[in-house]
Amino acid sequence: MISGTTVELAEVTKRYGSTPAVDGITLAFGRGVTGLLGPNGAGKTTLLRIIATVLAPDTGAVRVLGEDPGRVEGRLSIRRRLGYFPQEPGYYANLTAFAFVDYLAILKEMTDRRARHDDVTRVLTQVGLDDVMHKRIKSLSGGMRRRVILAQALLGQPELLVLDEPASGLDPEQRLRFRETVSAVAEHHTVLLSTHQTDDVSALCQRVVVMDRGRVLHDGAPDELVDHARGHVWVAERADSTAQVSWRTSSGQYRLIGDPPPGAELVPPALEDAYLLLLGLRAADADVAVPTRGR
Amino acid sequence: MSTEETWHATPDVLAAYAAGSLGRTSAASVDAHLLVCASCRAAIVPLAPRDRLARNLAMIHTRIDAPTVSWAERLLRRASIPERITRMLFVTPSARAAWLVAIVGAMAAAILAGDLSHGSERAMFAFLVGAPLVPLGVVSTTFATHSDPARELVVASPTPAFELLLVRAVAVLGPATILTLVASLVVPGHDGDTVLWLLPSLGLAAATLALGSWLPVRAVSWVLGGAWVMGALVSARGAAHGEVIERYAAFRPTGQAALVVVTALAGFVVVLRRDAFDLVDSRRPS
Repeated sequence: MISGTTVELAEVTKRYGSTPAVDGITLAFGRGVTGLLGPNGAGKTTLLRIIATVLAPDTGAVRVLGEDPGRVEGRLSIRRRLGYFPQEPGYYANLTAFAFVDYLAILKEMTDRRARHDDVTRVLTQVGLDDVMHKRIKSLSGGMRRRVILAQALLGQPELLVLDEPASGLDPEQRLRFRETVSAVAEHHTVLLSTHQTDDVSALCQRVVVMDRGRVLHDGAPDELVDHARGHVWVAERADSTAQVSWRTSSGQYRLIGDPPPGAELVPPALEDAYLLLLGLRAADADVAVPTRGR
Repeated sequence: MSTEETWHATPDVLAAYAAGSLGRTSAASVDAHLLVCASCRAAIVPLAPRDRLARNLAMIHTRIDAPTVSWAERLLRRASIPERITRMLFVTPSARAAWLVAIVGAMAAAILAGDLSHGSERAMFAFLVGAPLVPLGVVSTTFATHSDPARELVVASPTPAFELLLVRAVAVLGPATILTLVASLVVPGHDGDTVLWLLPSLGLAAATLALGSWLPVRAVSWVLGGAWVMGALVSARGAAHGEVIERYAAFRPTGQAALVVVTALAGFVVVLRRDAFDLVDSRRPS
């Protein structure tokens, strides 16, 4: 479970023009994996960028690994102990995977060439790219390229790993390996993981923070989020217009989320149901689009 | 020591070989023998110093894994430039683009300087106005937010982004400026006019960086470069023969003095605001 505080945010706000991307958020993170869930534009990436020290908040206090990222020395200290996977990482396509990670290792102040090459080999092997590490990045698949970025984030065994949608584009086998890697890091360090995949959160995270429009809607264990949906998920032979979200499953039945009618066949909710319900309830209150799946 | 069938290396020879104290000729002989003699290969295993073997293996891995580098990068490393710096210079597409801008600019300046040898005042003016655009283009190409595809990863590293960008800009600007300066100095018959482009170059580049700490560098460079050229065109229009250069304020002594002040002020701002380059563009969401 989470213990010790690695990241502290107090009333943090960041606006783009008049739009608040992060709106007065107060959170603290410690050891273990915390998942950030939320629709596009929820503010997850902005929040992770602030924690990764590449973006300054407009207002509020931030402390990462005991340092103030607003000060140059603090920022440098954090970056020496940080592994970061940005949402849109970018590559030098003509470099090999090894050369690219090696270059980023140089920027991470790993000056001893032999030790650096050992670490580059280690992280590329850890993400399963040992066979293709000397191929140019432009010849690698999308999933492999994302693993190259994950590899560079693991350089130097960082104390804080900030991962912004790292599992997008990974096939099931790669995703399992990714979970294995991240959970190993999280045994001793802090991992913040932004994702759209609720199954990754269920499988990996001891804590989940659900965000929407720059605010926190839920903060707690995934099971606590699931508990909120108990009694709100049912199955039926046909769609029901009173349900907030419904879709036809592979069995031919409809799975519905919302306030069930009398006599409905309730089923145990999954994390995805709870997430959709949370956003759906809020969406109904605020009169914004309800997320749908095959409605 | 001889063939596998009849001879084997003695324990003393194998021990010396394993310790690395055997002469080169004898060691080469043992090398060849070990390839064909399983008995001696087995005998040397307990004698082999594991630390030295591990070091050798690591060295081999280092050599094999080392990224291939261009001849230019190898040349710099032989000149004792640290690997950290040479990688910064040669890895990214933006660095290569900056080199391209510099080379094309310096060549254009050299060609223009060739024309100047015929004594044309307007060609000289074109040279003086055009030469400062070379460093401006280099600064724009190097510092522009989107010129480095992996910028966010680079920014998140402990190496200050400003230092990295400055290393690249200086490495490109230095040779480009020297080339252009040489080209301008070989022009006969224009007295000291041929170096009047230097201060505008410094002023434009420094002002671009200073303003670029608040605004997008590429946009600033286009605005300043455009204003510089427009000012020159307006100034040159209708100028009498012999007055074309003198009419542009930037080339008069007071203008040159003002450019020194602008450069110094902009440099001061850049140093104060260097941390602004250490973050991603905060004006737009990702």
